[in-house]
Amino acid sequence: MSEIVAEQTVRVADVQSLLERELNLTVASPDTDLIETGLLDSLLLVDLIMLIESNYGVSVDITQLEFTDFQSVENICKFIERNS
Amino acid sequence: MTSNCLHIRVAEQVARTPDATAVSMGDAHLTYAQLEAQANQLARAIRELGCQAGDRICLFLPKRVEAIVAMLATLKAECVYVPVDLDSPATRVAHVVQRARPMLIIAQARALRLLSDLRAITDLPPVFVTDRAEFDAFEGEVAGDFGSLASLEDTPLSGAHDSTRPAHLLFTSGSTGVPKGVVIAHDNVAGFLDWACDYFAIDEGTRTSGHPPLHFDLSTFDIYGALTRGAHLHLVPPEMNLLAPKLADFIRQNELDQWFSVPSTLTFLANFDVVEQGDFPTLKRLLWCGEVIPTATLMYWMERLPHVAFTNLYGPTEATIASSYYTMPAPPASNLETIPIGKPCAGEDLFVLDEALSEVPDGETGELFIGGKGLSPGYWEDEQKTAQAFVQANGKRIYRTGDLGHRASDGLFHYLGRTDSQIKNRGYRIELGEIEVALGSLDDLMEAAVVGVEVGGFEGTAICAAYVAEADRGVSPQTLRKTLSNLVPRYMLPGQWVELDALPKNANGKIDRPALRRVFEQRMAAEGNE
Repeated sequence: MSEIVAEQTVRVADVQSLLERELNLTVASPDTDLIETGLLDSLLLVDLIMLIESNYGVSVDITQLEFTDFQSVENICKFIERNS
Repeated sequence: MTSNCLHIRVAEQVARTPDATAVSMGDAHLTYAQLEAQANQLARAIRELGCQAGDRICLFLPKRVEAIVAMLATLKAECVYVPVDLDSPATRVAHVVQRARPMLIIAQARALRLLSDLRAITDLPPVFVTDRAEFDAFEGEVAGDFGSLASLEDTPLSGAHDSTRPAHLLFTSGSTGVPKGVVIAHDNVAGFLDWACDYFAIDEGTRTSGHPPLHFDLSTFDIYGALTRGAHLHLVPPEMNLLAPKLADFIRQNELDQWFSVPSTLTFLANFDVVEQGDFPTLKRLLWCGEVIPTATLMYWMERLPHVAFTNLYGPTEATIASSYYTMPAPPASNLETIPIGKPCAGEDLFVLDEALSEVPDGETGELFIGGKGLSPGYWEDEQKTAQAFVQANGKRIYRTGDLGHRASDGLFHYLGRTDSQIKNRGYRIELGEIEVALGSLDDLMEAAVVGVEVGGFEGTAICAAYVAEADRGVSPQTLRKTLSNLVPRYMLPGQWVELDALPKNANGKIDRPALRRVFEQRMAAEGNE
């Protein structure tokens, strides 16, 4: 299941349901600001990074991470695509 | 000092250093003169809206410079501010609003959704907003906005300015399921500042941090410690807490002299190993309060920052910011060493008493009681709780902390745990009873209990919930977590869940909590071995 083809576009709906299922993180829409709304905290972010790494086979370097990378579900998808 | 009123002390500092920067948040900065002028104008607006001395004003403001203006303005209008946690569910904030009965709310757009949800639950007073355009969609009454302040006079209001009066109410977790409001008077804060600003050498130009959320007691020291002394307060954007490298950069780039946070933040930075040898060259002092610092965390920091003084502060909100202190003479020799809570700050008293409120001999364990200048007048409109927690002994009014401790032969006090089920999680004070009451209100559960389990190392206490579900309701930890998140703040959500056929009971028929803790300890140990 974890063998995702690198060229495949990361689907917003997939990430959204993954976050809901695994992290109990429900967002109103793909562009909901996860930071401004206070939905993300540091523990959840660590879980989120691990989830992305295991499900999409990307490797996340926390020292290179920017707030915008995970500001919304949309941005998370773009981040995964850039790093796949 | 001519007055213990916090806003008067700030005004005196404004006269000394009008052009110095008082507070920064991101790209927003206010000089002392700007802060004073804006606060005076907002105070006049507050008065014009009919607020009188002693009226409460709830602040629905994120951590920005406007929040500092609003706090000062409230005090200048002789009112009492109540900072609201914008991340709390509306049902919980409703309890705070219903208890505080504010005459006015001051709000920013970040609180729009919360305020709209609140309107469905409870009556709200008029809302004064930072930007009217952002509140176009709000159906409640908007009483004015910051844009209209410029036309008002920017000189201080006259008034009695009585420092025995409440300055703010801080709501903390209550074991009966409803948050309780701790009343903090101007005199309480001033008493702590008289000791702390000298001890920590806060002076004109000192660069201090503002890390805790504004509804935390600790932030009171950051704000008034800096602003009554001419220091430059650097509010730390909350999102910095998401990325350890960014948080460390914040301390470096702002060349801070003083850092004050809960230990969890220090542990977070240690876990990501973002502190270099000799890092933060400008830093002189590092302070923490709110929970026990893991010794491993402290060793990590002290090994890397030999140029910094490290001080452990101890004390509950009811005794204002902190009541005792211990500055580390040297790094801990091993991670088995516990860090003393030290000795009372000047003007404070600390006692170890037995159940009859008699002092126990040095070395023996008792309950910690606090007396002195920081002692709150009590819980807001709750005489019963106040009488239970604030008692008389040997002619002194003292506060029963619920903390266990002893005084060692060298005169230093040590903290040894709790007498009840209150825990600390990332600096948040959590009554497990509050979570239990919330779970108990769910129709799908027959029984539920919540215990705290020490997980050791860096992590602190895990919140663990056990429940017995009604049959065929489709209850799972996921559904419970989701429902519970509408009732309690996120930091109170249990991380561990177990469904049982029945909760373990002791001979008296009460929930056997030690047995329940063992259930979770075994499960967590098994998970760790997978």
